[in-house]
Amino acid sequence: MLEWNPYDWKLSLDPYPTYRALRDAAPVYHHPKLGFYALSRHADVMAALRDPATFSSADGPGLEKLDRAAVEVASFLAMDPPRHDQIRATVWQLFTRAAVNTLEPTIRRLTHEHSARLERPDAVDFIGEFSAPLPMDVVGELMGVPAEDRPALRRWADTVVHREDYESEVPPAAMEAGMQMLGYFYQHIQKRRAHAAAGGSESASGASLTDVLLRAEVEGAPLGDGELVPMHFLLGIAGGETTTKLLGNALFWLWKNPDERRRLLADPKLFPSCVEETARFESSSQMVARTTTREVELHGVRIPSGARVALLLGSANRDERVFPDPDRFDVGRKISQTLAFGYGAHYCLGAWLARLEGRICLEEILRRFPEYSIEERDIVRVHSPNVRGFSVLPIRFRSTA
Amino acid sequence: MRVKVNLERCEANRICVDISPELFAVDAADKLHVLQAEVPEALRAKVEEAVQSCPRNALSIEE
Repeated sequence: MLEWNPYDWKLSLDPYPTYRALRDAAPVYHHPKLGFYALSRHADVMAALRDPATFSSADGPGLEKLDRAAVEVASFLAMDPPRHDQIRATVWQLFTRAAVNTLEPTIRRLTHEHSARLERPDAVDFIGEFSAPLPMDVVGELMGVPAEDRPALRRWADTVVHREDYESEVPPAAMEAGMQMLGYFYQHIQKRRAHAAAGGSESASGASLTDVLLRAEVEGAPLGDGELVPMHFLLGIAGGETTTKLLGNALFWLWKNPDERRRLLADPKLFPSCVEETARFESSSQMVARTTTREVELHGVRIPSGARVALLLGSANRDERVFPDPDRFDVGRKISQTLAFGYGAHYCLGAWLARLEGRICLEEILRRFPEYSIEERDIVRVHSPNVRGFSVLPIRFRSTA
Repeated sequence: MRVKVNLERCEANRICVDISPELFAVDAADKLHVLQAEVPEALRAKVEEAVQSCPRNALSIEE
Protein backbone atom coordinates (compact mmCIF):
# COMPACT_ATOMS: atom_id res chain seq x y z
CA MET A 1 0.00 0.00 0.00
CA LEU A 2 1.69 3.20 -1.19
CA GLU A 3 1.98 5.64 1.66
CA TRP A 4 3.60 9.03 1.78
CA ASN A 5 3.82 10.16 5.38
CA PRO A 6 6.23 13.07 5.74
CA TYR A 7 6.22 12.70 9.54
CA ASP A 8 7.68 9.19 9.31
CA TRP A 9 11.40 9.41 10.04
CA LYS A 10 12.08 6.36 7.87
CA LEU A 11 11.14 8.40 4.83
CA SER A 12 13.95 10.83 5.54
CA LEU A 13 16.46 8.04 4.89
CA ASP A 14 15.49 7.87 1.21
CA PRO A 15 12.25 9.44 -0.01
CA TYR A 16 13.05 9.13 -3.72
CA PRO A 17 11.61 5.67 -4.46
CA THR A 18 8.38 6.78 -2.76
CA TYR A 19 8.36 9.97 -4.83
CA ARG A 20 8.78 7.99 -8.04
CA ALA A 21 5.94 5.67 -7.07
CA LEU A 22 3.74 8.69 -6.35
CA ARG A 23 4.57 10.33 -9.68
CA ASP A 24 3.79 7.15 -11.59
CA ALA A 25 0.87 5.64 -9.67
CA ALA A 26 -0.67 8.48 -7.63
CA PRO A 27 0.22 11.89 -9.06
CA VAL A 28 -2.60 13.30 -6.94
CA TYR A 29 -2.03 11.43 -3.68
CA HIS A 30 -4.46 11.46 -0.78
CA HIS A 31 -3.45 10.25 2.69
CA PRO A 32 -6.49 8.34 3.95
CA LYS A 33 -5.95 9.05 7.65
CA LEU A 34 -4.05 12.33 7.80
CA GLY A 35 -6.26 13.83 5.10
CA PHE A 36 -3.79 15.86 3.04
CA TYR A 37 -3.16 15.64 -0.69
CA ALA A 38 0.20 15.71 -2.46
CA LEU A 39 1.30 16.64 -5.98
CA SER A 40 4.57 15.04 -7.04
CA ARG A 41 5.01 15.69 -10.79
CA HIS A 42 7.02 18.70 -11.95
CA ALA A 43 4.32 19.96 -14.32
CA ASP A 44 1.59 19.78 -11.66
CA VAL A 45 3.69 21.38 -8.92
CA MET A 46 4.68 24.20 -11.27
CA ALA A 47 1.07 24.75 -12.37
CA ALA A 48 -0.06 24.95 -8.73
CA LEU A 49 2.70 27.43 -7.87
CA ARG A 50 1.61 29.51 -10.84
CA ASP A 51 -1.94 29.75 -9.47
CA PRO A 52 -1.97 31.32 -5.97
CA ALA A 53 -5.65 32.17 -6.38
CA THR A 54 -6.48 28.44 -6.35
CA PHE A 55 -3.58 27.24 -4.19
CA SER A 56 -3.49 29.68 -1.31
CA SER A 57 -0.63 30.21 1.13
CA ALA A 58 -2.88 31.70 3.81
CA ASP A 59 -2.71 28.68 6.14
CA GLY A 60 1.09 28.72 6.37
CA PRO A 61 3.97 26.81 4.79
CA GLY A 62 3.81 23.53 6.71
CA LEU A 63 1.23 20.78 6.30
CA GLU A 64 -0.33 21.47 9.66
CA LYS A 65 -2.78 24.36 9.27
CA LEU A 66 -1.54 27.17 11.48
CA ASP A 67 -3.97 29.07 13.65
CA ARG A 68 -4.38 32.80 13.01
CA ALA A 69 -1.75 33.85 15.58
CA ALA A 70 0.86 31.47 14.22
CA VAL A 71 0.14 32.49 10.63
CA GLU A 72 0.97 36.12 11.54
CA VAL A 73 4.43 34.95 12.52
CA ALA A 74 5.06 33.53 9.05
CA SER A 75 4.75 37.06 7.59
CA PHE A 76 4.36 37.28 3.82
CA LEU A 77 5.10 33.58 3.38
CA ALA A 78 1.54 32.99 4.61
CA MET A 79 -0.06 35.74 2.57
CA ASP A 80 -1.65 35.74 -0.86
CA PRO A 81 -1.56 38.47 -3.49
CA PRO A 82 -2.29 41.39 -3.35
CA ARG A 83 -1.15 41.87 0.30
CA HIS A 84 1.73 39.44 -0.26
CA ASP A 85 3.06 41.46 -3.19
CA GLN A 86 2.87 44.75 -1.23
CA ILE A 87 4.96 43.39 1.66
CA ARG A 88 7.46 41.63 -0.56
CA ALA A 89 7.85 44.85 -2.57
CA THR A 90 9.45 46.52 0.48
CA VAL A 91 12.49 44.21 0.42
CA TRP A 92 13.06 42.53 -2.94
CA GLN A 93 15.62 45.06 -4.12
CA LEU A 94 17.99 44.01 -1.33
CA PHE A 95 17.97 40.48 -2.72
CA THR A 96 18.45 40.94 -6.50
CA ARG A 97 21.35 39.18 -8.15
CA ALA A 98 23.16 42.55 -8.46
CA ALA A 99 22.56 43.57 -4.82
CA VAL A 100 23.59 40.16 -3.50
CA ASN A 101 26.83 40.20 -5.53
CA THR A 102 27.99 43.24 -3.52
CA LEU A 103 28.10 40.91 -0.50
CA GLU A 104 30.81 38.73 -2.04
CA PRO A 105 33.75 40.25 -0.09
CA THR A 106 31.84 39.95 3.20
CA ILE A 107 30.88 36.34 2.50
CA ARG A 108 34.41 35.45 1.51
CA ARG A 109 35.74 36.97 4.74
CA LEU A 110 33.21 35.05 6.85
CA THR A 111 33.99 31.85 4.93
CA HIS A 112 37.73 32.23 5.69
CA GLU A 113 36.98 32.78 9.37
CA HIS A 114 34.67 29.79 9.70
CA SER A 115 36.75 27.38 7.61
CA ALA A 116 39.74 27.89 9.94
CA ARG A 117 37.88 25.65 12.42
CA LEU A 118 37.83 22.81 9.88
CA GLU A 119 41.62 22.51 9.84
CA ARG A 120 41.92 19.58 12.31
CA PRO A 121 43.51 16.12 12.06
CA ASP A 122 40.34 14.42 13.34
CA ALA A 123 36.80 14.64 11.99
CA VAL A 124 34.72 17.75 12.70
CA ASP A 125 30.98 18.19 12.45
CA PHE A 126 30.71 20.29 9.29
CA ILE A 127 27.19 21.40 10.16
CA GLY A 128 27.94 22.61 13.68
CA GLU A 129 31.34 24.11 12.89
CA PHE A 130 30.61 25.72 9.53
CA SER A 131 27.40 25.32 7.59
CA ALA A 132 25.06 26.36 10.41
CA PRO A 133 26.98 29.39 11.72
CA LEU A 134 27.96 30.80 8.32
CA PRO A 135 24.50 31.50 6.81
CA MET A 136 23.29 32.87 10.14
CA ASP A 137 26.34 35.16 10.12
CA VAL A 138 25.43 36.38 6.62
CA VAL A 139 21.81 37.05 7.61
CA GLY A 140 23.09 38.69 10.78
CA GLU A 141 25.32 41.00 8.73
CA LEU A 142 22.37 41.81 6.46
CA MET A 143 20.16 42.68 9.43
CA GLY A 144 22.82 44.37 11.56
CA VAL A 145 22.56 41.70 14.32
CA PRO A 146 25.70 41.65 16.56
CA ALA A 147 27.93 38.59 16.14
CA GLU A 148 27.55 37.50 19.77
CA ASP A 149 23.77 37.14 19.35
CA ARG A 150 23.89 34.89 16.30
CA PRO A 151 24.52 31.48 17.97
CA ALA A 152 21.32 31.85 20.01
CA LEU A 153 19.36 32.76 16.87
CA ARG A 154 20.69 29.69 15.16
CA ARG A 155 19.70 27.41 18.07
CA TRP A 156 16.19 28.85 18.16
CA ALA A 157 15.84 28.52 14.37
CA ASP A 158 16.84 24.83 14.51
CA THR A 159 14.28 24.16 17.26
CA VAL A 160 11.51 25.96 15.39
CA VAL A 161 11.74 23.55 12.42
CA HIS A 162 12.46 20.31 14.32
CA ARG A 163 9.78 17.61 14.60
CA GLU A 164 9.99 14.33 16.50
CA ASP A 165 9.20 11.05 14.73
CA TYR A 166 5.54 10.96 13.61
CA GLU A 167 4.94 14.36 15.17
CA SER A 168 2.47 16.20 12.97
CA GLU A 169 1.57 19.14 15.22
CA VAL A 170 3.86 22.10 15.94
CA PRO A 171 5.58 20.99 19.18
CA PRO A 172 5.73 23.18 22.32
CA ALA A 173 9.52 23.45 22.07
CA ALA A 174 9.18 24.89 18.57
CA MET A 175 6.58 27.40 19.78
CA GLU A 176 8.84 28.42 22.68
CA ALA A 177 11.87 28.86 20.42
CA GLY A 178 9.71 30.86 18.02
CA MET A 179 8.65 33.19 20.84
CA GLN A 180 12.28 33.70 21.85
CA MET A 181 13.22 34.63 18.30
CA LEU A 182 10.30 37.01 17.93
CA GLY A 183 11.22 38.64 21.25
CA TYR A 184 14.80 39.04 20.12
CA PHE A 185 13.83 40.68 16.84
CA TYR A 186 11.38 42.97 18.61
CA GLN A 187 14.23 44.29 20.79
CA HIS A 188 16.54 44.53 17.77
CA ILE A 189 13.99 46.64 15.86
CA GLN A 190 13.42 48.98 18.82
CA LYS A 191 17.18 49.53 19.09
CA ARG A 192 17.55 50.32 15.37
CA ARG A 193 14.52 52.60 15.44
CA ALA A 194 15.90 54.53 18.44
CA HIS A 195 19.30 54.73 16.77
CA ALA A 196 17.79 56.19 13.59
CA ALA A 197 15.58 58.62 15.54
CA ALA A 198 18.62 59.89 17.45
CA GLY A 199 20.23 60.72 14.09
CA GLY A 200 22.61 57.76 14.32
CA SER A 201 24.44 56.79 11.15
CA GLU A 202 24.00 53.49 9.40
CA SER A 203 26.93 51.10 9.26
CA ALA A 204 29.88 51.58 6.95
CA SER A 205 28.50 48.92 4.63
CA GLY A 206 25.24 50.81 4.10
CA ALA A 207 21.68 50.45 5.33
CA SER A 208 20.87 47.16 6.99
CA LEU A 209 17.76 45.23 6.05
CA THR A 210 16.21 46.50 9.29
CA ASP A 211 16.96 50.12 8.42
CA VAL A 212 15.43 49.68 4.94
CA LEU A 213 12.31 48.11 6.44
CA LEU A 214 12.00 50.93 9.00
CA ARG A 215 11.91 53.42 6.13
CA ALA A 216 9.53 51.39 3.92
CA GLU A 217 5.91 52.27 3.32
CA VAL A 218 2.95 50.20 2.24
CA GLU A 219 -0.07 52.18 0.98
CA GLY A 220 1.53 55.34 2.32
CA ALA A 221 2.06 54.07 5.87
CA PRO A 222 5.21 52.72 7.56
CA LEU A 223 5.27 49.08 8.61
CA GLY A 224 4.30 48.46 12.23
CA ASP A 225 6.04 46.06 14.62
CA GLY A 226 3.27 43.57 13.84
CA GLU A 227 4.73 43.26 10.35
CA LEU A 228 8.39 44.08 11.03
CA VAL A 229 8.95 41.40 13.66
CA PRO A 230 7.51 38.52 11.60
CA MET A 231 9.47 39.66 8.55
CA HIS A 232 12.72 39.38 10.52
CA PHE A 233 11.63 36.00 11.87
CA LEU A 234 10.85 34.73 8.38
CA LEU A 235 14.09 35.98 6.86
CA GLY A 236 16.06 34.69 9.87
CA ILE A 237 14.65 31.17 9.55
CA ALA A 238 14.62 31.10 5.76
CA GLY A 239 18.14 32.52 5.48
CA GLY A 240 19.67 29.96 7.83
CA GLU A 241 18.27 26.44 7.72
CA THR A 242 18.00 25.91 3.98
CA THR A 243 21.47 27.23 3.12
CA THR A 244 22.97 25.14 5.94
CA LYS A 245 21.46 22.05 4.37
CA LEU A 246 22.58 23.03 0.85
CA LEU A 247 26.24 23.25 1.93
CA GLY A 248 26.17 19.91 3.76
CA ASN A 249 24.34 18.22 0.91
CA ALA A 250 26.91 19.49 -1.62
CA LEU A 251 29.88 18.11 0.31
CA PHE A 252 28.09 14.80 0.90
CA TRP A 253 27.14 14.19 -2.74
CA LEU A 254 30.52 15.30 -4.06
CA TRP A 255 32.10 12.76 -1.73
CA LYS A 256 29.66 10.03 -2.82
CA ASN A 257 30.46 10.84 -6.46
CA PRO A 258 34.28 11.11 -6.60
CA ASP A 259 34.29 11.45 -10.41
CA GLU A 260 32.11 14.53 -10.09
CA ARG A 261 34.34 15.94 -7.37
CA ARG A 262 37.39 15.45 -9.62
CA ARG A 263 35.50 17.07 -12.52
CA LEU A 264 34.71 20.09 -10.35
CA LEU A 265 38.30 20.44 -9.13
CA ALA A 266 39.56 20.26 -12.70
CA ASP A 267 37.12 22.91 -13.96
CA PRO A 268 36.23 25.67 -11.44
CA LYS A 269 33.73 27.16 -13.91
CA LEU A 270 31.45 24.31 -12.77
CA PHE A 271 30.98 25.62 -9.23
CA PRO A 272 27.75 27.52 -10.00
CA SER A 273 26.20 24.54 -11.78
CA CYS A 274 27.38 22.25 -8.96
CA VAL A 275 25.43 24.40 -6.48
CA GLU A 276 22.41 24.36 -8.78
CA GLU A 277 22.61 20.57 -9.19
CA THR A 278 22.88 20.04 -5.42
CA ALA A 279 19.76 22.16 -4.95
CA ARG A 280 17.96 20.09 -7.58
CA PHE A 281 19.24 16.67 -6.54
CA GLU A 282 18.68 17.07 -2.82
CA SER A 283 16.47 20.10 -2.32
CA SER A 284 16.76 21.68 1.13
CA SER A 285 13.06 22.47 0.96
CA GLN A 286 11.33 19.23 0.02
CA MET A 287 7.82 20.59 0.03
CA VAL A 288 5.59 23.61 0.49
CA ALA A 289 1.95 23.43 1.50
CA ARG A 290 -1.10 25.16 0.05
CA THR A 291 -4.87 25.19 0.68
CA THR A 292 -7.27 24.88 -2.23
CA THR A 293 -9.77 27.73 -2.48
CA ARG A 294 -12.05 25.79 -4.82
CA GLU A 295 -12.52 22.22 -5.99
CA VAL A 296 -9.71 21.08 -8.31
CA GLU A 297 -9.92 18.17 -10.74
CA LEU A 298 -6.53 16.72 -11.70
CA HIS A 299 -5.58 13.30 -13.15
CA GLY A 300 -9.12 12.09 -12.49
CA VAL A 301 -8.97 12.97 -8.78
CA ARG A 302 -11.22 15.57 -7.19
CA ILE A 303 -9.46 17.67 -4.56
CA PRO A 304 -12.14 19.41 -2.50
CA SER A 305 -12.08 23.09 -1.64
CA GLY A 306 -10.28 23.81 1.62
CA ALA A 307 -7.95 20.80 1.25
CA ARG A 308 -4.34 20.85 2.42
CA VAL A 309 -2.06 20.08 -0.54
CA ALA A 310 1.65 19.34 -0.31
CA LEU A 311 3.63 20.43 -3.37
CA LEU A 312 6.59 18.05 -3.44
CA LEU A 313 9.49 20.14 -4.75
CA GLY A 314 11.92 17.33 -3.90
CA SER A 315 9.95 14.96 -6.13
CA ALA A 316 9.43 17.46 -8.95
CA ASN A 317 13.19 17.99 -9.12
CA ARG A 318 13.69 14.24 -9.77
CA ASP A 319 10.93 13.98 -12.37
CA GLU A 320 12.28 12.12 -15.40
CA ARG A 321 9.62 13.85 -17.50
CA VAL A 322 11.71 17.02 -17.14
CA PHE A 323 15.24 15.98 -16.11
CA PRO A 324 16.98 13.25 -18.16
CA ASP A 325 18.60 10.63 -15.89
CA PRO A 326 17.29 12.53 -12.85
CA ASP A 327 18.92 10.35 -10.19
CA ARG A 328 22.40 11.04 -11.51
CA PHE A 329 24.33 13.77 -9.68
CA ASP A 330 25.89 15.77 -12.53
CA VAL A 331 27.81 18.91 -11.56
CA GLY A 332 27.68 20.20 -15.14
CA ARG A 333 23.94 19.69 -15.68
CA LYS A 334 22.18 22.51 -17.52
CA ILE A 335 19.12 23.31 -15.46
CA SER A 336 16.47 25.85 -16.25
CA GLN A 337 13.42 24.36 -14.54
CA THR A 338 14.60 23.80 -11.00
CA LEU A 339 11.90 24.06 -8.34
CA ALA A 340 14.46 24.07 -5.54
CA PHE A 341 13.66 27.71 -4.88
CA GLY A 342 9.97 27.41 -5.66
CA TYR A 343 8.34 29.42 -8.41
CA GLY A 344 6.01 32.37 -8.97
CA ALA A 345 4.69 34.70 -6.29
CA HIS A 346 6.60 33.10 -3.37
CA TYR A 347 9.79 32.31 -5.32
CA CYS A 348 12.63 32.26 -2.81
CA LEU A 349 13.71 35.83 -2.14
CA GLY A 350 17.10 34.57 -1.01
CA ALA A 351 17.82 32.38 -4.04
CA TRP A 352 20.76 34.47 -5.29
CA LEU A 353 22.13 34.78 -1.76
CA ALA A 354 21.97 31.01 -1.33
CA ARG A 355 23.68 30.51 -4.70
CA LEU A 356 26.43 32.98 -3.84
CA GLU A 357 27.08 31.49 -0.42
CA GLY A 358 27.05 28.02 -1.97
CA ARG A 359 29.56 28.95 -4.66
CA ILE A 360 31.95 30.82 -2.36
CA CYS A 361 31.87 28.17 0.37
CA LEU A 362 32.42 25.31 -2.04
CA GLU A 363 35.23 27.17 -3.82
CA GLU A 364 37.03 27.92 -0.56
CA ILE A 365 36.54 24.48 0.99
CA LEU A 366 37.34 22.42 -2.12
CA ARG A 367 40.40 24.57 -2.86
CA ARG A 368 41.67 24.23 0.69
CA PHE A 369 40.62 20.63 1.39
CA PRO A 370 40.21 18.79 -1.94
CA GLU A 371 40.68 15.34 -0.35
CA TYR A 372 38.14 15.53 2.50
CA SER A 373 36.37 12.33 3.58
CA ILE A 374 33.12 11.70 5.42
CA GLU A 375 32.56 9.35 8.40
CA GLU A 376 29.33 8.00 6.95
CA ARG A 377 28.30 5.84 9.89
CA ASP A 378 28.18 8.88 12.19
CA ILE A 379 26.01 11.11 10.02
CA VAL A 380 22.63 12.23 11.36
CA ARG A 381 19.87 13.40 9.04
CA VAL A 382 17.53 16.18 10.06
CA HIS A 383 14.02 15.01 10.87
CA SER A 384 11.57 17.44 9.39
CA PRO A 385 8.70 17.02 6.96
CA ASN A 386 9.86 20.07 5.00
CA VAL A 387 13.65 20.16 5.18
CA ARG A 388 16.16 17.66 3.82
CA GLY A 389 19.79 17.52 4.89
CA PHE A 390 22.12 16.72 7.77
CA SER A 391 22.10 17.84 11.37
CA VAL A 392 25.46 16.14 11.99
CA LEU A 393 28.02 15.56 9.21
CA PRO A 394 31.45 14.44 10.48
CA ILE A 395 34.14 15.24 7.91
CA ARG A 396 37.88 14.71 8.02
CA PHE A 397 39.41 17.68 6.22
CA ARG A 398 43.03 17.25 5.18
CA SER A 399 44.80 20.35 4.01
CA THR A 400 47.14 19.98 1.06
CA ALA A 401 49.48 22.54 2.64
CA MET B 1 4.85 38.35 -31.42
CA ARG B 2 5.25 40.67 -28.42
CA VAL B 3 6.74 39.96 -25.01
CA LYS B 4 4.71 41.23 -22.07
CA VAL B 5 6.38 41.92 -18.74
CA ASN B 6 4.49 42.11 -15.46
CA LEU B 7 6.73 44.77 -13.91
CA GLU B 8 5.18 44.23 -10.48
CA ARG B 9 6.19 40.60 -10.67
CA CYS B 10 9.68 41.13 -12.14
CA GLU B 11 12.48 41.17 -9.57
CA ALA B 12 15.44 41.57 -11.91
CA ASN B 13 16.57 37.95 -11.68
CA ARG B 14 18.08 38.54 -15.13
CA ILE B 15 17.56 34.96 -16.24
CA CYS B 16 15.83 36.25 -19.37
CA VAL B 17 18.84 38.52 -19.99
CA ASP B 18 21.16 35.52 -19.82
CA ILE B 19 18.97 33.64 -22.30
CA SER B 20 18.44 36.51 -24.75
CA PRO B 21 20.47 39.69 -24.20
CA GLU B 22 19.29 40.95 -27.61
CA LEU B 23 15.78 41.07 -26.26
CA PHE B 24 16.08 41.83 -22.53
CA ALA B 25 18.06 44.34 -20.48
CA VAL B 26 17.87 45.39 -16.83
CA ASP B 27 18.82 48.97 -15.96
CA ALA B 28 20.57 50.29 -12.83
CA ALA B 29 17.18 50.77 -11.13
CA ASP B 30 16.42 47.03 -11.57
CA LYS B 31 13.82 47.77 -14.25
CA LEU B 32 13.45 45.29 -17.12
CA HIS B 33 13.29 46.58 -20.69
CA VAL B 34 12.16 44.55 -23.70
CA LEU B 35 14.40 45.83 -26.46
CA GLN B 36 12.21 44.91 -29.45
CA ALA B 37 8.50 45.80 -29.55
CA GLU B 38 7.83 43.34 -32.39
CA VAL B 39 9.87 40.18 -31.86
CA PRO B 40 10.89 38.26 -34.99
CA GLU B 41 9.91 34.58 -35.39
CA ALA B 42 13.59 33.64 -35.40
CA LEU B 43 13.69 34.43 -31.65
CA ARG B 44 10.61 32.36 -30.73
CA ALA B 45 12.53 29.49 -29.13
CA LYS B 46 14.52 31.91 -26.95
CA VAL B 47 11.38 33.83 -26.02
CA GLU B 48 9.63 30.62 -24.98
CA GLU B 49 12.66 29.56 -22.95
CA ALA B 50 12.75 32.95 -21.22
CA VAL B 51 9.02 32.77 -20.42
CA GLN B 52 9.39 29.23 -19.00
CA SER B 53 12.55 30.06 -17.06
CA CYS B 54 11.39 33.26 -15.37
CA PRO B 55 11.08 32.14 -11.75
CA ARG B 56 8.55 34.84 -10.98
CA ASN B 57 6.27 33.99 -13.89
CA ALA B 58 6.59 37.63 -14.98
CA LEU B 59 6.77 37.11 -18.76
CA SER B 60 4.15 36.18 -21.30
CA ILE B 61 3.82 36.09 -25.07
CA GLU B 62 1.19 38.07 -26.98
CA GLU B 63 0.70 36.92 -30.56
